[in-house]
Amino acid sequence: MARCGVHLSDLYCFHYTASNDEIDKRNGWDLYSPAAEYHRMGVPCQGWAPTTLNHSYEICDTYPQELYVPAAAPTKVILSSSKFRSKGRFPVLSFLHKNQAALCRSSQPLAGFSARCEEDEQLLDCIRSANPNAAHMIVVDTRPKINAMANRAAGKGYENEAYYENIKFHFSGIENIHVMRASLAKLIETCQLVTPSMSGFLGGLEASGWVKHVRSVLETASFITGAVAGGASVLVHCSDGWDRTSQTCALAQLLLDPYYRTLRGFQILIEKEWLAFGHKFTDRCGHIQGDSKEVAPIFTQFIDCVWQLLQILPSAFEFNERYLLILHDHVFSSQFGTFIGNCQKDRVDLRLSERTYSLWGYISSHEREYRNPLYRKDSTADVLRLNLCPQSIRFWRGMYNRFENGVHPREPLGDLLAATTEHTQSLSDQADFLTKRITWLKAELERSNSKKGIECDNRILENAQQNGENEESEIGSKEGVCVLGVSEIEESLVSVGALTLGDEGGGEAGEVVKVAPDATFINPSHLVQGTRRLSAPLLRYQSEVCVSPAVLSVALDWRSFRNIRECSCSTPFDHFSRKHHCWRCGEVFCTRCIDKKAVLPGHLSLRPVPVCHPCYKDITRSVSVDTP
Amino acid sequence: MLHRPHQAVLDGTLCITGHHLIVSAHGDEPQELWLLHSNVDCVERRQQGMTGGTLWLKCKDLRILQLDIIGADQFNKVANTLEDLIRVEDPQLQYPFFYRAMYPVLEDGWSTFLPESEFSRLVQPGDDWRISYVNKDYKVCASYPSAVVVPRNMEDSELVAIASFRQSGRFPVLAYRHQANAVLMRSGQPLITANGRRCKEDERLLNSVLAREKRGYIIDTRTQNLAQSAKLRGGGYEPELHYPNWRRVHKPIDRHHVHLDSLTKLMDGVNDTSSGTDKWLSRLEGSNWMNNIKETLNCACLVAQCLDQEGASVLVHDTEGLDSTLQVTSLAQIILNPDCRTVRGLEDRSPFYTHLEDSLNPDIQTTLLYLVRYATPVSGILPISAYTHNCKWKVLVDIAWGTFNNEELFEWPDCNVHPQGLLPNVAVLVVFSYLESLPTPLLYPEDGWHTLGHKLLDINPKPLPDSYPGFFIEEMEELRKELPDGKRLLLDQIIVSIAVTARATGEFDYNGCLQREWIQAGHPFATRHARSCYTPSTQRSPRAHSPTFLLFLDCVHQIHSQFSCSFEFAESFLVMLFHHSYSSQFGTFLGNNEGERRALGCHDRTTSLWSYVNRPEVLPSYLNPMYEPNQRVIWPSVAPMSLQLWSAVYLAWVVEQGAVEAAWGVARELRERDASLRSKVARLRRQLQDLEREALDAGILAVPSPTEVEVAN
Repeated sequence: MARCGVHLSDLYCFHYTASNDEIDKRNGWDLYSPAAEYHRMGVPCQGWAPTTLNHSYEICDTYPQELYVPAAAPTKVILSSSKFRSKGRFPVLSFLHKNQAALCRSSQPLAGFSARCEEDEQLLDCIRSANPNAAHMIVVDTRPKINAMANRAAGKGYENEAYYENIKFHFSGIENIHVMRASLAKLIETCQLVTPSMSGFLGGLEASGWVKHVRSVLETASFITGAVAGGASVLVHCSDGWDRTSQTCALAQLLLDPYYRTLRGFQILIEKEWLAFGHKFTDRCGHIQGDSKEVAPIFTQFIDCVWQLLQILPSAFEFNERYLLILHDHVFSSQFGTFIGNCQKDRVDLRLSERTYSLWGYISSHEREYRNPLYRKDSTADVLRLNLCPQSIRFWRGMYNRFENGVHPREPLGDLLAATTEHTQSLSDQADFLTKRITWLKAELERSNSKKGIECDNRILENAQQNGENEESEIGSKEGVCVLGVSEIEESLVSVGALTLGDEGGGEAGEVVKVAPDATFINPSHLVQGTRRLSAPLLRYQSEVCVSPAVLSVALDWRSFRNIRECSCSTPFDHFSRKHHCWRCGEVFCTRCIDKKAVLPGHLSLRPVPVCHPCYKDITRSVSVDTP
Repeated sequence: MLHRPHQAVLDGTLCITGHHLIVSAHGDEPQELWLLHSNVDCVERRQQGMTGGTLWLKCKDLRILQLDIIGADQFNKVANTLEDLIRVEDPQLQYPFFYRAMYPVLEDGWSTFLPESEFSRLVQPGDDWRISYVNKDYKVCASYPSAVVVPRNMEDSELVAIASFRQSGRFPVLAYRHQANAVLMRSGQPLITANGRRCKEDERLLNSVLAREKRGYIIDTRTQNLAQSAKLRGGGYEPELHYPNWRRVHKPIDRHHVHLDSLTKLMDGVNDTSSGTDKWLSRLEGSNWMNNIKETLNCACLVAQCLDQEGASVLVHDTEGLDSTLQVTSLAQIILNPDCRTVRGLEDRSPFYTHLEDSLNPDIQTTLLYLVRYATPVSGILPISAYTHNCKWKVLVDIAWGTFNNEELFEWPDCNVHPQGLLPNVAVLVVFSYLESLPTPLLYPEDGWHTLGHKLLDINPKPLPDSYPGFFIEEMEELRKELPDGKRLLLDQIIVSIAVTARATGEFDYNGCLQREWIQAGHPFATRHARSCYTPSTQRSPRAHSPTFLLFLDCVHQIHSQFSCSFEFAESFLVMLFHHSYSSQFGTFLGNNEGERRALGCHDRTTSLWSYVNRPEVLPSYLNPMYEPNQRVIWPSVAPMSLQLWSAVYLAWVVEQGAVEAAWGVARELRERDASLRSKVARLRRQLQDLEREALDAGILAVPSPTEVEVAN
């Protein structure tokens, strides 16, 4: 991990250039557009409208420029409310559910023991009344009650139910960043025990409290989900509204909206809840030397929670465990500019989108590795309701013992299934190709047969019988000369693959064949052969060379992953490295050796597919030979 | 009123029969719950005055049912009846003796495991080992089966002498042969006693097993102290002085006495879903269950290591050799022997039909002949005399074989080539394709069938890849579907018989492993499983009752989850075994040993579990869609973080498992689609090739230019 720099500009992302020129530096930076995302949820609408108040970060510098507030809330109310909230983070819209229940987020109010702000109360009332379906709204303070009380002494605190009308208040008891930091440290200590005993491990797991904390975050998210799905609007806050609030809001949305469970949707969710709303990535991840008290595994914990959901519902998410791990890696690695800075303003000031690459750009060019083959869009209900009893929360070996190769399953199912899915794609494409070609050939044969029927007369038949079998081979070679026109077409069809074998290609070939029969039908051998075929041993044919080499350009069987310890480039495979197949030769390669894509003539779609370097060379060479 | 885990409350009528408790719902939806009394571990009651009360039925499959009964009188009657019924001791009154299969039994599971065929892999002619029937009346050792494998040079009389020197008469017998000289044996402890008794025959037996200059290992699954103190109770361990070539290693596994307690603690934790995470984790740790798994696996790995890496022979025993010994020997085999990871040991490489002559009953032979004629498009392809006079399957196979192999047959005047150029003889192809569609390939390169398979089905014969995909011919499967019911049944019977016989030559599948190492080896199922973890501790005896077998299944599950592609069976198969081992309509797990089962007449009076499992309708659901045969030794990780609580067993009634099961369904679907596409592509390629050849002949296509061929290769 590259850390310990003093200035942000020393970070690796400002120096990193992708070795592969396929990735453009701009890729991924335009992924998230707030207007488009809120539009997807149906905002602006009657109840909710965008506000430009924070356009140059004047009200709150840790909030994004684009904010959505109740349409009924006057500017004055918003301004006053922001003054009454810690760090100016007033309640704004985070997610609007189909049933008009809104999920809002903010920081804690500066309530102290008795202070109140009527405008803040009004704002909450506007939020409540933007939802026509519920008479009350729910305020979730994600902190333990005792922490919230302690904050009151410092002039902060929580909403007083007596002042705010129609709210139901709920504490959910997630511990603060310092507890989480210590908890993870203990967990890692347990994981690194040398030859741990079972009770040493389980004891350490329990003592670290990590599993308990993960569960408390999930339970809060589940509570929020239940409330929103039940029709009530919810406001979530913790102290500053950028740690626990980000975790629980993001998880709740993951449970509420299937869109966020897709590869892309999850990126949008992170852009929205974590990046735009100002989770302090640089401080929390310790990108540069700073206050060690600010470092905390809040995002790690969130990723762990998502992994728990993946375990409980293996078909509900489009992405896999590897996707979570790569996200987690690059939040810390600072190879990409995506997670640099503490808030949107920081990132704008650093001009990250011009100077660095975006992680989303990298991921979009490697999506194959991150897809969950078990994903079934319709397998789960839109709103996920979970049983979060302690027994269903697990220790994530893949994360905390990631680099200990010995402890992982030796035969990772996910990768095998992913390979199966790709293999199926390749084969189904070839099946289409074969079907098309068979249909075409059948039609051609029929046509030529009908012509023969008319034009062949007895004289030719007699000739044929006289010539006998000996001439068979000669005739074969003659054919090659006779039907030059056809053979050219064939060549261009099958080997270059530039010509689509669609209707056009078939039609064209057909026309030429019409000309050719003059040469063909004089050939007397076909009738003889036709009759002999019946008596000839069937099996003899099948081992001979295939006429269409295009057919064989697609591997029928792929090599098994088993017992392959390294790639041909000597890169060793460990538990988490994804092994890939070359679609042409079916051998196994590492990610770096399979970065080429090529069109295989045996596929009907002629879509570029992954091939290994030797195959790529073969293909490009043959194309250049055939089409000078 | 019935409360079940994960399901809506059922309001219905309760009916108690001799063997079942049945609740059927009121109302329109026909909903019923059938529960075997033998599945109920304990009944807990709470009466509420005269209005009735609640019964908790705690089951051996770890489920807890809640039954609300109206009326105090009724409540008490029901509770008393149930309490009586779940404690019926007489095995003859058990349900398996009354159960009759509602389906035609294709293959009798009882006859699947004949000792002779079972041991055929262990004992080869001219070998150092032989099958001994010294125990045919179960007098030498009550818990051993009638046939056991012992060193060839040991006389039966010597075995009797050794039996009196070993605990419960369990003299050392062969369990598994890894490589030529590395053998795995098991026994009871030697009765050394405090006086240091010796038994010359025992010493001779053990020494004769070892090749010259070779050392062997005696793995005692007790601690040194325990083994030492066993001497005072008339037991002991082999002193090095008298067994100079054997090194003794103590690899302690907790005795089976503590396992039930451990499971009780675990289930207490599991069933308490309202307490916090900390409490759950500390209960999980306190139960020591995961630690038991770790230690058992550890010991099995040690045994496997001795056998595989040192090529040394191993003798495993504890006190009686009925519990941890069996766990260790069977797990070691699963680690070492790929065949033990299959459901049906079809991995035998010898031509399979040599045994068929004897095993096919005359009816099936007739049927087969009929079928060949019936399904042949043109009758009279084969000279009828060839099979009417000598109706042996082998001959038939040879003839069928001839039809493919012998070009002359194609010249026969009325031979009708299949339009797609597949085959003239559909019937044999049906059988053939059916064999091929079995998840484990039956046919191997040395076997003519395989070459044939390649010739027929693949345009491009090539050496077998590491994973052998197996063929599947859709048309033939459809053809089977089109057959009228009766004929289809006959066909299935034939196929199953072939499979059985094929398996009889290599009895090393997982079922075989279970059968040998657990059922025949005399693990006292009836005693151990009479009570489970919900029985109050006052009513159970730690020595008698123990979930040893569950612990073993859990260990298999741990290996399974680490090598999920190396097992032919799915996790659900293990869960099914767990359920049936405690309570079942089948007789397989009845009694404590073969002798008891023989006395009860299980073979004639009950149905075997394998008769059920091996049916073509049932077996596929227990197969692992991810299976790729793995011929290697698989070394599991025993690090604590690698071992997971088996949720499909312990959490099944607490945490909904539906989503995970559905995901397996998706995986199955993916793999099946891939396999069918593969065969479709292979078929299309073949078809295209024929067409192209025809087109070439017709002059529509040209012979490819050399460059094209090069590109393709």
